[in-house]
Amino acid sequence: MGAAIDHAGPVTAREASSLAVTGLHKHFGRVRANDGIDVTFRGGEVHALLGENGAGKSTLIKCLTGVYRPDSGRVEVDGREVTIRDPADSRHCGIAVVHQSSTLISRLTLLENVVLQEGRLGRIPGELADRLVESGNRLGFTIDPRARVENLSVGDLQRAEIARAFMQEAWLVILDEPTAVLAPAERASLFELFGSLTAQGVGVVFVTHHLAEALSESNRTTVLREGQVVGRLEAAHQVDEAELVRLIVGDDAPHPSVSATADGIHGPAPHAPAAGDGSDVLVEVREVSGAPLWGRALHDLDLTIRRGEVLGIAGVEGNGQRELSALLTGSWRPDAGTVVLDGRPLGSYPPPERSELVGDVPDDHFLATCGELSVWENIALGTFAWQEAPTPRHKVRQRRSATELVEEFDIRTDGIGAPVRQLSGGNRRRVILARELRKHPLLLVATYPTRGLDVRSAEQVRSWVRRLADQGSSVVYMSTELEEIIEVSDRVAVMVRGRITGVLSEAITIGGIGNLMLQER
Amino acid sequence: MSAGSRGRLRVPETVIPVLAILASLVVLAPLVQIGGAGFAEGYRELFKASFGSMVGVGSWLTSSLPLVLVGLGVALPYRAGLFNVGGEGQLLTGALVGVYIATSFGGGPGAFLLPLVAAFGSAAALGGVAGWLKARGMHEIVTTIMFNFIAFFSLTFLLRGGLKDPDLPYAASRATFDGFRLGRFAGDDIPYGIFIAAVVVAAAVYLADYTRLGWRLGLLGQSDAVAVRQGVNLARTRTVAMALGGGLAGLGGVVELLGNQYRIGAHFSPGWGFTAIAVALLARGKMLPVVPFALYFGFLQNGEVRLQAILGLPGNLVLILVAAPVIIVAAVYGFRAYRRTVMVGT
Repeated sequence: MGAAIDHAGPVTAREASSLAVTGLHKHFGRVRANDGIDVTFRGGEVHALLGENGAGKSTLIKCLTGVYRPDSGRVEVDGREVTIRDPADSRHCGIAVVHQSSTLISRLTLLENVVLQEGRLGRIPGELADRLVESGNRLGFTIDPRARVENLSVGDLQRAEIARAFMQEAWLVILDEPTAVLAPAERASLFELFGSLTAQGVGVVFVTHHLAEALSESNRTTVLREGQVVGRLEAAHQVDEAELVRLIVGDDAPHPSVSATADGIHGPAPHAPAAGDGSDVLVEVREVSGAPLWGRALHDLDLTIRRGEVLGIAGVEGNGQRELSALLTGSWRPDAGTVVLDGRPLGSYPPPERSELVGDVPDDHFLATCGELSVWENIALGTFAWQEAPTPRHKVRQRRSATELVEEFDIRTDGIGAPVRQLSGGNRRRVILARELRKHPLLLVATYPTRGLDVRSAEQVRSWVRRLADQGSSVVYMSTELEEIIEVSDRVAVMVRGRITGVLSEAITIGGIGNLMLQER
Repeated sequence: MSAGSRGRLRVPETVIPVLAILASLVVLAPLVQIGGAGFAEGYRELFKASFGSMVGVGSWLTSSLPLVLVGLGVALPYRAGLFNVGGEGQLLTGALVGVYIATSFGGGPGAFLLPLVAAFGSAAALGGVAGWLKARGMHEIVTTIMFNFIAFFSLTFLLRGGLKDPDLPYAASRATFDGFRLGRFAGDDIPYGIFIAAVVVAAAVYLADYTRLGWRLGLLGQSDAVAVRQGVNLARTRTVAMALGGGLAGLGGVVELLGNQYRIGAHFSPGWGFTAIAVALLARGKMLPVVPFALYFGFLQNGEVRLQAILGLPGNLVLILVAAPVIIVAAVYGFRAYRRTVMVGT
C-alpha cells in the first residue's frame, strides 16, 4: 500500500487481499444510514450487496470510497487500520468505484474527465485516451474518449464510468448498481469481466436489486436492512429467492412476484380493456423528426397510444427514450411532425393544463427534483407553479398531502422538511412517482420508473401504473428490462436508434422483442 | 474516524449575514485608527449621524430608500438565478424618465404617480431586454454592465444639451416641479417615500412568496432543467424576472429624485446600483431581508459624510464595510457547501 501507483498497463492484483469493516456508523440527522456494519470483502471474490432502497448500501460504499466520512468504525486493509478521508485515500488503498449517479463533469469530454481525475501534469492525454478505449474494449464497450459527457445517455455514461474505474490499478472494484442500465448482452459481458478479474485476484463488490443476479454471479452475498447487516450468504449454500426476499424486506410482507423468473415470458397482462374497447386513441404521434439540443435524433416517429393502455417502449438505453419522453411531455418540440393529445396538438395546451394532464417521470431525477428543496416542496413543485399559489393555506394542505404520500409511497426520509438531496436515489424516484401519480394524469410518461428500486418497490410501481391504466389513463412505460415490459404492458413498441422498429400487440415474447431490437431500417 | 461533527453548535444560515455585519463593524476600528482618529470617536460619529437627531433619522431613511428599492431589483432576478448587475443603469433610467416628466408637465394631487409608473416601465424595458437577450445566449451580467454604461453616458450627454438647466453654473437638470415632490413629515424630517417603499416591499414579498409566478421564478433559480420539465418557458420567465428587477431599480431612482435631490446630475447616484448587489446577496435573494440590509448600508452611507466632515477620514473607508460582510458570508456559505457535498454528508 501507499507506494507510487504505476498507471500504465492493465488491471493487476495489488498486494492486498482483504478489506474488513467493523462497527461502521454513519448518521444523517435522525436517519441511521449505517448502523454498525461489519463486513469483509476479499480479493478474488465477487461479493453482492443486497437491500431495499435506503438500507444503507450506497452510504457504505460512499464511506469506503471517501465520499462520506463515517461517524465511527474501523476499516482495515489486510489487517492494518486505514483512514479514508477522501477519494484519493480510497484509491491509494487500491479501491476503485463506479457510483450510482455519475461523477463525471458534463461540460467536459470523457477524456478531459479522465485527465482531471488522474490529476497529474505532464501526462499525455493521448495515452490516457488509448487506455480508456482499451479498458472499454476489454469490457466489450465502445468508448469515444472525445464524446462530451452531457451528450451521453445514462447507459453510455455508466459504461464510460465502468471503463474509467477499470483503468486504475485496484485490487477491489466497487460498483453501485452497475447492471441497472445495461442491456442483457452488455450485462453478460460485465459478468464475464467479473470472472476474469477475480481470476487475477481482484475482488468485485456490486450492489444489485436482481436477486437472481446476486445469487448466480457472486461468491458471497451480504444483505443490509435499515443500516445493519441482516444476512450473509455463500453461493455454495442453496438459497431460495423467497427466503432472500424475506431477509431483505424483513417482515412478513407478501412475497412480490419476482419478475426475473427463469422463463419470464407471459402473454399480455390479463386485465379488462378500458372504456372504448381500447380502440379510442389518446395520443397520436405523426412523422416526428428532429433532435433536441441536448440529445440524439428521432426519425419519422409514428406512435399511437390508446386510452387505458400501458404502451411499453423496449430498447437499449440511449436509443431515443429520453427524447421521446421530452416529446410526449411537451418539454421539447420537434422540428417536424405533430403530437396530438386528446384531439388537440400538445403544443396548444397552456402549461397549467398540460402539467395537470401529463405525468412525467424522467430517466434522471435531476430533471424532476431540486436537491435543495424539501421533500414536500418537491411534491408540490408543479402544483405551486401552475395550479394553486403557494399561500400559507395551500402550503399547509400540501404538507399534509405530502405526509400522506410519504407514508403511502414508503419514502424513507428524515421528515417531509428534509432536503431531497439527503435522500437515496431510490427514494428520490419515489418522491417523483408520488407527485406524478397523485395527479391522476391522463397520460403518464414513465422513463425507467423502477430503476434503482428494490424488488418490492419495483413491483409496487408496476401495480400503481397498472391501476392508473385500469382507471382509463394511458401510460408510456420505458424500460430496458424486457421481462418487466412484458409484465406491465398491453402493447410493446421497440425503439432502435431513434426509430420505432415495430409494435407488438399480442403474443409478446422476449424473442419477438429481440428480433425487433436487431432490426434497422 | 472519531465522533465527527455530531453535537457541534450550528449557526442557522439566516444569522450568518448578521454576524458578518457585526464582524465587519469590528474591522472599522483599526481603519479609523489608521486614518488618524480615535476609534471610539469614529463609532460615535457614525451612530450620531443616523440616530443623533430626527434630522439624522430622516437623512438615514432618505439614504436607505433607493437601496431598498434597487436591492429588491437585484434580489428578485437573483431568486430566478439571474444576476442583475444593471441596477445602476436602471436606476438612472428611471430617474431620467422621471425628471423629464416632472419638469415638463405641471403637477397636481397624486401627480407623483405618473413619473413613478413611467420610471418603472422604462427601467423594466431596459431590464427586460437583458432577460430577453439571455435567452439568446448573451449573459445577463455582460449585458447589464453594458447597459450601465449606456445609461450613464446617455445621462452625461443629455446634461450637456437639452436636459441641462441653463440657469445653473454646473451640469444638472432643471428641478422637478413642486407638484411632483414627495415631501416629508414629522417636522419635515421623515420622507414620505418610506410609504412608497413599504407598498413596493409588500408587493415584492407577495409576488415572490405567495404567487405561482414567484414560485416559478424560484424554481428557475433552483434548476433550469427541472423548471423546463415542469413546463416553464425559460425565455419568457427570465425576461419577466429581469423586467421586474429593472422596474424596481427604476423606482429607486425616481423616488430619490422626487423625494430628495429633485435634480439629476452626473453624480446623482453614489453607486446604489452596486451597493444593492451586496444588499441582495446578504438577503440571499429573499425580499423582506432586503429591508434591514438596505437600512444598514444606508446607515453606513449616511455616516460617511460625518466621518469625512468631522473626523477628516476618507469617505471610501465606508465602502470597505460594504464589501467585508459580503466576502465573509460568501466564504462561510462556500465552505459549508464544500463540506456538505464533498466531505461529510449533511
